[in-house]
Parts: sequence; structure tokens; C-alpha cells
Amino acid sequence: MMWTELPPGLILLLGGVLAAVLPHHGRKALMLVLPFVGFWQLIDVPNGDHAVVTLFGAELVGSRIDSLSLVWGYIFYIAALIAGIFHLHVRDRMQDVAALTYMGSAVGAIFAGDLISLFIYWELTAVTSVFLIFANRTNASFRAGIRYLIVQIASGVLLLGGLIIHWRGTGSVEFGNLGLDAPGGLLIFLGFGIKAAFPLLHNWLQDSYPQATVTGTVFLSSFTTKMAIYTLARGFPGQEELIWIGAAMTAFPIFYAVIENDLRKVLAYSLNNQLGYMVVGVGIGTELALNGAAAHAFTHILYKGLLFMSMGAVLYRVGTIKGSELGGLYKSMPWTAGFCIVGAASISAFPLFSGFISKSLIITAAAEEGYWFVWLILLFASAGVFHHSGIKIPYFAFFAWPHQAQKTCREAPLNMLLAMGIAAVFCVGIGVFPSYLYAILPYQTDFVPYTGSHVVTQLQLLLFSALAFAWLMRTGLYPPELKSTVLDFDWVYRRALHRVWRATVEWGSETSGALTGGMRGWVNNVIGVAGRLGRPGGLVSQTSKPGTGVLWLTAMLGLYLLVFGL
Amino acid sequence: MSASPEFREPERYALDRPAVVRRIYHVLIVVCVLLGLADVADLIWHIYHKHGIYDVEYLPNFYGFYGLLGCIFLVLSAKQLRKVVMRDEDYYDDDVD
Repeated sequence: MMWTELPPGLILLLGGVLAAVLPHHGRKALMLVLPFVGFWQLIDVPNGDHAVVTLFGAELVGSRIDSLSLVWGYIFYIAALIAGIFHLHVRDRMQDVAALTYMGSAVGAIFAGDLISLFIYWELTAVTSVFLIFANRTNASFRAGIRYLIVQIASGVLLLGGLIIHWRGTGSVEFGNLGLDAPGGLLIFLGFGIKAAFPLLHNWLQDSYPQATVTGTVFLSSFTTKMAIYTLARGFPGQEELIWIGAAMTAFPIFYAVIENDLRKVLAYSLNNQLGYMVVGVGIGTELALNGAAAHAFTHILYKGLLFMSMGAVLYRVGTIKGSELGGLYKSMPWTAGFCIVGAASISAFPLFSGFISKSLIITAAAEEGYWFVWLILLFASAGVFHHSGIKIPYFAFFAWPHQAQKTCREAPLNMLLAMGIAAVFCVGIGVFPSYLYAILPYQTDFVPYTGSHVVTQLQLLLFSALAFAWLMRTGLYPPELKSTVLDFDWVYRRALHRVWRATVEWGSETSGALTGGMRGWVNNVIGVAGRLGRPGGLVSQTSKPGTGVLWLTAMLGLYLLVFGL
Repeated sequence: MSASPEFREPERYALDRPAVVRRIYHVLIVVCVLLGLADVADLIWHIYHKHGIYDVEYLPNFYGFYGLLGCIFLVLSAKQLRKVVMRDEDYYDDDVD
């Protein structure tokens, strides 16, 4: 049957293609209706492999619906709807098309049952989402977008290399539990690791998300990184290295979050930290831990989206999102402030908010499996999250007394408030009634989050952290928000390598100048030959072997779309 | 951006009064003390049956002290980090191809 055999990602993807020719209202209608259509498909179609086709000896599975992929499928459609509502007032065809195709590719990746389909969707998320950054149409956003694209494509290239080695080594392209020891496993792992923002591979996230449009960041924050978490949970569950990688991810971004001035960048650092919990959960790999990773991805998309929406609304109304220039906005934007606080309470894992019932699965799993050091890091990071996302974000945007005259502005537009309201209802609803979320997790669970012991200890951790903030503020020890650029690992490729390159070129030209004409003539000869080979029709500019492989894949994508899309 | 921010004398709200902020601070201290005492009370009367996996969790107010010290450490060391990694706001503005 058509409906069953339709790969889920194509619903939003083809909607995006259609949006390229539709007028404004048609595009908005698609963004509001298609998430429901997609959600209905997930409910309607039975679990199992669908849309299976054999191409070039490889079995491609376009739609693998099981308990793991469904968790991500559900939340991706919920996020698509909320972000679509938040984006409703924007009249920009480029962003509409980019958002729809981007979300479709992410959904497609979740339900891809083989590595080739996964690779195609993986690359599509990169080339579609970058337009949400370009759409800001500034020089800075263009440059950030190009850097983003380079890193994302590099992740895809690693995945492609790993998949070819894996295919040759095992004769199968099935995307199941791979493990690092499988042929090509390490390359695939690193490809996933870039998009999951592993330490030192993370900086594309903090570099690009704050450069995207007000609504673009909301789309971006929901999909790429959580898609990567899903692929880790599918391909590398119980891979012990992930526990330590994840623990590092929870801890080190929070130091940056404390001193960063751009509040959307602070959120990007805290996003990185939240991914760390999920990576730890995947690494531990027990049923409890994998449930925790899935549950945390689910709740995280909602509260992180909510926080990005509230900061987006401030940026939209005030024109800046620098902590050093904001403050006191709770008077002008009380609803936005309230929703922001709900998001802040959720990410901080306050009892009765969503983060509490998901994060505790992971922390409990770490303790139960005897990783006491990791457990201590996760607790420290939990206190730190409350400190920078729970308090710093709402405080500096809405409450801090600004240095200049206080800014006044209008409350956020109605559609933004509605989107934030829906996300806030989810955050509280999941926190109060966790059993509904627990029921859709990959494994059955009888975990009870609300015990007296758990609630009291969590409140101790959080309120004493709040006390630390208040005390540091009142004694003046807390570092003020300063106009600044904070250097992170991206400095290596934006400055250090650049300098090395320049120095090398200068040294080279000096050396060649010092040498006699013979050397220069030799260099000129090389340049001449290279020029002849490289010009149109020359040997090097013809399609070479690696390109043929990519061509084949593109052809397969085309066929694939034809076979299932029509 | 849709609306340009105007600058005008804002209304006075309760939170603008230092006395109110100080009271919030004091309430926070009281709540923290009570939460810490809850652990001591649990040791004696087993009110909520604290259950933990590691011994350290049974120290009264372990989570509270850990959060407090952790946050102070976080902020003060981040402040030191600024000395190393903080540059002018326009540091990357001269990006050249």
C-alpha cells in the first residue's frame, strides 16, 4: 500500500519542494498541516521494515518503524509544528523551503534502515539547514554558514567513507548495532560525533546557531544534533568510550556558558551540555540508560526549543540578544518571561518539569552501573546547567538592572506566544504526568521519578546552586556580562591555521626570491602544467574515480525518490 | 526587527525595590536551611527514606553542599578562564578570505 510504503521523511521533503512554488499562505498551511499528516502516518503504519528495495546489490530500507525510531519521529513532528507556528509571521520563501526540507531530511534519517539512505538524508540536512543561517543575509551569517557547511559536509564524508568500508567488509549496508570494531565503524562514529558535537568537534554549533535567523535557530536547535544522538543510540549503544565523551560534553561547555555574552550562544553551549547527558546514556547502554537518552532527547527538544524561542522573541523585539545590553524586560514581555522561566525550570530538572523525569533516568543509570566519577560530573553539570540556563538566561534578559536606560518594547507577536505556550504546556505536562512519555520509550520501564528522596535531594542541589548565584551576585564576585568575543576551539581553524598558512606562503615566496631563476623556472613549469591539466577539458578537470561514486549515489537517490515518491 | 526600542522612564515594580530583592534572598536562605535540615530529620525519624547508591549520598545535605561549592567553583574558574580566552567584541570582524 502507498501509505505504508512511503518513507516518512518524504512527507515534509516533498512539501518543501512544493513550497518553492506556492504563495505565502500556501507555504504556511503546509508547515502547519504536514506535521499532523506525518504524525498520523507514524501512528497508522505498523512497526517493521517498509519501502524495501534492492539497488546495486544493496538492500535499502526507506522506512524502519520500531520503538527506538518512533520516539524521535513523534518528537520531530511535534517540534516541526511548534517551530512552524513560531515562524508563522515570517515572509521568506527561502526559509520556508529550507525549514521544510531540513525537517523532512531529519525525519528521513531517523527512519532510514540502511546506511546509504542515512547518508543521503544526512547530507540533505546539511545543505538545507544552512539556508536558515544564510537567511540572516549578513556578512557574518554568510561566513558562519560556510564554516557550518564545511563541517557538516565533512561529517557526511566520514560517514560515506565508513559506509563504503563497511559495505565492502561485511557485504551489508544495514544500519543496526555497528560498534567501533565493525569495518568502517570508527569513521562512521566520527561522522556521527561531529553532528553530536563531541568535544573539539563541537564548535560549529556555537559558531553557527547564534548567526541564524530568529526562527531559524529554533528549527536548527531541534533536529541535527538529536538526529546524531539517535544514530549513536542505533549504531553504538553500550560503547563505553561514549560515557567519557559524554561526561566531558556535560562539563566543559558550562564554563563557557557562564562567561558568554550572546544569550543565544549561551543556549548553544547548554545544548552541547545536554547532548552530553544523552551521549552518556547511550554509552552506558542498559535499558534504563537508553530509555534515559531517548526520554531526554524528547524533553530536551521541547525545553531547548522553548528557550531558543523566548530568546528569539527578545531578539525580534529588542534587536539584540547581548546580555550586557538587556535586562528588565519582564515588564514589557511578561508572557515571554514566564515561558522562558518554564523552559529554564525544565532544563534545570526542577521537580514537576520535564527535565526532571528524563535526566534522572540517565544519572540513576550511571550510578547503578558503578560509574561514580561520571555520576559526580553529571551532578556538577546539573548544578551548572541550573546556574547558566536556569538562572543566567532569564535573569540577564528579563530581570537584571541594565546599565543604560531600561528598554521597553512590545510583547512578542501572538504566533510566537502561542508556540511558546504549547511548548510550555508540554514541559509541565510531561513533568507532572511522566507515565505518558515513559510508555513510548524503547524499553518497558517501571522507573518512579517522584520519590521523597529524589525530590528532596534534587531541590537541595538546585536551591543551593541558586544560593551560590545570589551570593556571588550580591558580593559582586559574579563576573559581569561584558561585550566580548570568547575564543573557543574554532579559533584553531579561524585564526591559528590561517596564520600558519600565511606564514608558510610568505616564507615560500621569500625563499623562492632568494634562489636563482632555475628554481623559479621549475616552479613556473609546475604551475604551467597544472594550469593545462586543470583547464576545461584538461585531464584533472574530467570526472575522476571518487566523483563517480558520488554520482552513483546521487543517481540512486533520484531512483529512490522516483520509486517511492511516485 | 519589527519595533525599534524606545527609551523612557520605566514604571516602578516591586522587584525594583532593593528591600524586596533582599527579602527574596533571605527567603531563599531560609528554604535552603530547611532543606538541609530535612536530611538531618530524615536521619533521625526517617521521614522520606532517603535512598542512595553511594555512601556519600547519606551525608546530610550532600547534594546541597555539592551544588553550592560546585557553582562557586564553576563561576570563579570561568572568571579566570576569561583572562585567557576573552577578546574584543570585534575580534573576528576582520575575517578575510
